[in-house]
Amino acid sequence: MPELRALLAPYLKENPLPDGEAFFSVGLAGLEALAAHRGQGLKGAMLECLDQGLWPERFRANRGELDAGDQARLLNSSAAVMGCGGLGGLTCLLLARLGVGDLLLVDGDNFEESNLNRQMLATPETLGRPKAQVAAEAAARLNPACQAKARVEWIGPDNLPEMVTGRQVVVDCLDNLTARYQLEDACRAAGAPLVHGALAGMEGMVMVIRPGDPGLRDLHGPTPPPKSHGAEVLLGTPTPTPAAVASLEVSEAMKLLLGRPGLKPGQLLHLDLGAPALEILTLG
Amino acid sequence: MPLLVKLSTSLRKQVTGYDPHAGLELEFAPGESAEGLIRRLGLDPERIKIIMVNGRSAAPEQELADGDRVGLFPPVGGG
Repeated sequence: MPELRALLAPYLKENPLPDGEAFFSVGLAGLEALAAHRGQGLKGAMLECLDQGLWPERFRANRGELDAGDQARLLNSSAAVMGCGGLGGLTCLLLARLGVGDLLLVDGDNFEESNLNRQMLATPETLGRPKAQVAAEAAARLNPACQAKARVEWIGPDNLPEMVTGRQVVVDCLDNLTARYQLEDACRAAGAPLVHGALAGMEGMVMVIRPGDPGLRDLHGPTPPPKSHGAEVLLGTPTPTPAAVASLEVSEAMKLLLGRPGLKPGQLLHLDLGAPALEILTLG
Repeated sequence: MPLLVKLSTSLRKQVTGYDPHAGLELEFAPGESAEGLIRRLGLDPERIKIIMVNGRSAAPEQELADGDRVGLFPPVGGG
């Protein structure tokens, strides 16, 4: 610790706390100097600092809700985001900002003009580009300590097992129930916890599905309803709703990664931005 | 006490005059099932995937009780 403190002395910032105590944070220049000195990556430097209670400046505002051990745990965590559109685009950005260290970002689609109303990564510049690729670039740009890998593929029973196996959390940001059922099956088989989120109009639903928990079949029946029956066909996916649902998904994913209690098995979080209302419903 | 029915998403457009803030109060009909209520509202039971009675999922054949709060949801899969 004295060696680390001496090394980082020019970079340390003292942050007073209301009780008169203080904690120290270190900015990117200090982390880069430490990484170069140790011959390791930025993530390693962040972990070494957190281990000594020194907060990387970029995560300083997470402190309080998170402790240094929590932040280190997130840096050492892996997540997969299935779908990088309305829900998935913001989910990727939030997970990168949160500090999840290893992200797999999956989508077979390219951005198109009609995505601009709600998909955070759709901009005039990214139209026509693969969503997963744009998401990986954005995550790495936001947080260079985050290892973000893109898979520009449509998911199915053949490629899903390999994508979800070993992931500490999988976030369902897909746009149709057939693919969502396939994802749930693959996650159950791989033992990976799944955070489901879906929306139509001003309403959204979020559920945490651990292997063995009630899931989409308890919600929508044994076979996935066809896409044409989804309420979103009639009501669309207007601007505010995907952002709100993605934020709820990321907070449940964060709690799963940190081992904190969140939505319980069979609980369905129903968000109605129109009323507005937020309620927890119970399956079974 | 009447039944309080809350409709979700696209179902709100299928019942004339539905108020999403207040929900819909309907007279309790002894012996009526959740599916019976759905038909009374003029909705297609095939298109309703989730039935919640007092916050808990219920089968279409579940008999309703006086004062029940019933939530009806179509499939929601958008992202």
